[in-house]
Amino acid sequence: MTSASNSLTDTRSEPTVTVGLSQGDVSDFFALLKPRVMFLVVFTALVGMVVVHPTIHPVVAFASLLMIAIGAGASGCLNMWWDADIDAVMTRTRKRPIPAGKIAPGEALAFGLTLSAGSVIVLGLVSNWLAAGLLAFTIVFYAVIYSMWLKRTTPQNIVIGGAAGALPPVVAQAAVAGHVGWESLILFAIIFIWTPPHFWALALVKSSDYARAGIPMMPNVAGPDSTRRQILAYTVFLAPLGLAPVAFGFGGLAYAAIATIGGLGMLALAVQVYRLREGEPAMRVAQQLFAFSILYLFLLFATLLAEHGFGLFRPVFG
Amino acid sequence: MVLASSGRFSGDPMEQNPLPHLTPEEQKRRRRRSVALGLALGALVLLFYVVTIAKLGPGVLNRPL
Repeated sequence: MTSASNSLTDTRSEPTVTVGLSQGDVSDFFALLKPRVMFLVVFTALVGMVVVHPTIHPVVAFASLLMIAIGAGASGCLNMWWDADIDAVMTRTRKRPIPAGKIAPGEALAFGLTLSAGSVIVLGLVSNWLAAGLLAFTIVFYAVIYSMWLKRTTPQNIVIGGAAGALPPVVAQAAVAGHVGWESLILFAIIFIWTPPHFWALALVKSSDYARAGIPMMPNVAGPDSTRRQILAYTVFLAPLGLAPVAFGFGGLAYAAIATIGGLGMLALAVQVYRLREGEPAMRVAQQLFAFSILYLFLLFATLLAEHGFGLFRPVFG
Repeated sequence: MVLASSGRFSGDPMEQNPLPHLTPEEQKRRRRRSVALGLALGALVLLFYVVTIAKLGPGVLNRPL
């Protein structure tokens, strides 16, 4: 590991003077924001905005979306700062900027706190303080409740912590509508119930990685069989829940078709994960469920975006 | 105040806190960080300006003196 700060210590006199210079490149700081997660947040938040057909200025909507993205990035940065020790022992995360020695933990903390405060304040100024409060709650929930508390103490970590990942559509609706409506709450519920089968499918594949890091993921605590049962249970609930936007009138014909086909696909894979428990086929099908779950959520939200953002909405009822 | 290498007293704070020697790669990284920070600040200024105009509209100039 290389030193993350270039320090010079003056040993000739007291007190000791230490000058630190960052070693991180711009791309390292960008990586601290978890860009892929940020993309998902922007995407789900954008859908949370368009389903309510906001009447506010597009510039204000854009600025709000930008602040939600930065807030999400800030919480990812604070998560990386706190989890640097376990990131270093997991193959999936050991190349992140802090364990790789490219950025000092203190820099990441300062960067994350600055972006957190900045994004909340600017969101409050450009939209409203309900949205800003919800963004602050999301950041605190992810960085403190999930990262610092739940992640290392309970196998329900990603179930409860999943609320942070599900909140962006709610924040977005609050930003453009000034209130929290049932549209964004349904989107919240879909992401929230989608999270356990998504992450537990990954945890089944990477269970040795999580065990080495000492993270009590469900397969390591309750065992793979119990995890498979719970994946199936959540998916049985998720598939019909995915159709809730149709029942509430903001999911059209295209959405109904995608949600039905995607839900059946999720169910089929969850049943396969439940049945195949040994060897390479079991790992392969868990990996397939993990990958398909991403596609499933993406398609649900992309269809809503197409229906409401591009005028393709055709009502299912009437 | 410290005694500079020339033997004369210097008021330059850099003499007291000399920066560590930077390799060419470290200098490039520092320059890229500085440019990114400058661009981010510029973007923020532009964002505040555009949002102000969008929220207040032409009325931003129509104020009693």
